[in-house]
Amino acid sequence: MSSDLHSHSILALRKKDWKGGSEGEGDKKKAGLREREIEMESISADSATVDELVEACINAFDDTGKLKDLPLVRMFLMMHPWYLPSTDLAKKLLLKSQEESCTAELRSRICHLVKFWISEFPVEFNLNPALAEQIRDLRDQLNTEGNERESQLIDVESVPSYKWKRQVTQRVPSMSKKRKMSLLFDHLDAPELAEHLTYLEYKSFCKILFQDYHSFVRHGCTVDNPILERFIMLFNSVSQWIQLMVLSKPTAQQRAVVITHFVGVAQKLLQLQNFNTLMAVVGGLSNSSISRLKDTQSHISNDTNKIFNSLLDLVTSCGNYSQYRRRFSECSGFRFPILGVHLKDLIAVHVALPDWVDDEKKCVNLTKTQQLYSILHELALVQTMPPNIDANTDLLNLLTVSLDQYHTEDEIYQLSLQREPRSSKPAQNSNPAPNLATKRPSMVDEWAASVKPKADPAIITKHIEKMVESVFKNFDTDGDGYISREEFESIRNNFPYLSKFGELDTNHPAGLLYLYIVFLDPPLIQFFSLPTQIVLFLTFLFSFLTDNPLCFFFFFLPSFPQVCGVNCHKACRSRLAVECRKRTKSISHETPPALQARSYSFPPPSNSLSNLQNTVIAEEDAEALREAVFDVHL
Amino acid sequence: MREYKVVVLGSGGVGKSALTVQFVTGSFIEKYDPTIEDFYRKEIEVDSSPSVLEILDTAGTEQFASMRDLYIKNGQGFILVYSLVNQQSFQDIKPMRDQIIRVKRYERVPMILVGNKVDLEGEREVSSGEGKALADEWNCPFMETSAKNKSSVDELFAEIVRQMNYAATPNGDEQCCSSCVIL
Repeated sequence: MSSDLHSHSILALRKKDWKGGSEGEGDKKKAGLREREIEMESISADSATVDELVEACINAFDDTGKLKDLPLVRMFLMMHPWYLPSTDLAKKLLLKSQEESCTAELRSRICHLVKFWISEFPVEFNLNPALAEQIRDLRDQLNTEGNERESQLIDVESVPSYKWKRQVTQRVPSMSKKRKMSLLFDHLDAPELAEHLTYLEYKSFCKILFQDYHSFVRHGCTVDNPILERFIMLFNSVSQWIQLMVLSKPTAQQRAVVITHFVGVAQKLLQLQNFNTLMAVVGGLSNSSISRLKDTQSHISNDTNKIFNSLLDLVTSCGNYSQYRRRFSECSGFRFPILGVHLKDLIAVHVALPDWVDDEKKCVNLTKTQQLYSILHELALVQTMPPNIDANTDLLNLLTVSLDQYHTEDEIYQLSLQREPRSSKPAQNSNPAPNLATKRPSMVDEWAASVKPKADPAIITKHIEKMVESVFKNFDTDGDGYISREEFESIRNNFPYLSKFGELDTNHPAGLLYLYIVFLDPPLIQFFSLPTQIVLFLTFLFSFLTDNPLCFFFFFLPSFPQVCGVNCHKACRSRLAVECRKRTKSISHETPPALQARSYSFPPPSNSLSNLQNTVIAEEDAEALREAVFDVHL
Repeated sequence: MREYKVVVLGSGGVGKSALTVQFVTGSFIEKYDPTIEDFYRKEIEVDSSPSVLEILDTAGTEQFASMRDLYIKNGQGFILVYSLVNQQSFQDIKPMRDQIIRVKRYERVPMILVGNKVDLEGEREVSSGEGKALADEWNCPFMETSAKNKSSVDELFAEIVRQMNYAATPNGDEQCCSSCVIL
């Protein structure tokens, strides 16, 4: 950028049309988030110093608090962390109000600006105690000087808590007639599944704040950004889960039914204007692990294929995602953007344009600020318009755990190869695809692993706890603390990755499932670096126990975090049986018992340790796990 | 005029956007809007035949694993970028090629391996030899570029067009373009 732009950085503090574009820009087709041009009245330049911007924001208010230039003030207040810390901005305002030349009118305007800042961006004050403190100083100073009227404008104490701000508004279920809903994913109709997926993803999306986007754009990826990571993980999980739901079915016809079902889910998502989950579902169904299944594809009707292709066209990357951008810009009310596309836009703007137009870093590049703001502002608006969805908590709990799975691309592709092995005839005019899986099993995994977000074990634990509650509440129909084999078989379909363990032996005499999960304090579960590990244990337990109606314990040892295991001591067998009965009583309530009620006692560590040493399960290897258990027990 | 769809891949921070922006805008532009439809389209003349490139810059979407197969399916030519001042980014590039081949279901997908940030020679972590060796293994051209110094950027996009042309011609495999490799 030419250096003489600096000299253009004049503030026209008068009414003037501000248009972001230059001549010729109108020729280009605009779509998507940038559709709505932000018009600012009091600033007409490509750059301005921070002080000039602060000045313009103060002057945007009159002394009665009337705001003349909302777009400018909103933009500056949202975007200023890009250029200076919020505490510095607060300091500037504080100093300005202390200047001798500061008139009562000016002071009043400053207070109105601060008031507006707090009311529009309360989270910032809640998350940044130093900032809140500075604002309190300003208020105290006004009070000492006898400016109570102004000081009353500034109320940082009434800022709602950050937790509240990051939570999605819970719909009150009693508002509508509570539907009786199947908790079995196979029986759920497409609209219900679409709504629940929307609920989960939107809830995760609403937690993302300016600072999370800012960090992402600065680093070019997620670094110490758990909220955005969690969101991306959920997005990817939906795709993987769909692939597993398809691949868990043994016959091509069954798989085609599942695919058709999810095309229905995708259609409903479009109807809900949830493009983000739509992308995840379409991405899952078009993944090569699914698209390569020729037998399965042959069972899918033309109509379904037609619908799917139209959805595919809608989210295609062709034309810079223009189909999607156009469609999205036409939506009103609740709409959920494909976040990936807009993160891409943010990065493209950030990389192409410098923050400052001068080497001294004095002049803010307003062209860039405005472009970033228009994207971020639209994303923030989405968070203010929640969908009208009546979610079933138990279903959410089950869905959450089922989605918590993490699988590598390779594992899923392997499953696909098992379902429909490659034909021996290589396709014409092309070399047969190399057997990547066997040749270099870890390659694709490595890529996946390099971007795999770390799940917070505490969150995963909470999800599992909730799921166990829901499972017992809904499937232990007679409330005896047991889940019958039939009940287990039905719920098993909710966890498609169980196919990893092969089909259950249905010839085995039906037995009762004794499920004991010992949850201790969250720190004890830290060694579960992957959600998969935890759930793998659980699912293993599920599948293993149906074959062996014995009592098992699931161990987490506080002093030996590396030691965990599923154990059943021969010597303890009789004791365990007694324990089981005890347990049975305590969970035989009609209402789900509190979690603490399931903190079962388990054999004293001194007794179990020696055995447990043999059951160290460091890897999430199902076979090893199975063997380890057999080693100890048989 | 023939149209080509090119996908720029690589892990975060290797300079995918910088390369793409450098190419599509030529020089620094003040009015810049990456959300418009034709922003990533550019006409270039390669070996005296005009062509239109539509480029997909994947920066920002790297972690959204489920979007990958979709854009790989759409792409015809692939530019795989690592940062030569970051060994990890060089390691990250290998599985990306595997995924392309898995999705495309054939080995000879037009692609170029690119070591970006050659302007930071002093901080180099990946030698030219390593890059060249990997490209040889993949049987694809190799280049080192600098988006910052505008070095070899246009050449890179011209080369991917040639690669896509070779793939389209029968027996194109025999023609090697080693003369274009810049080391």
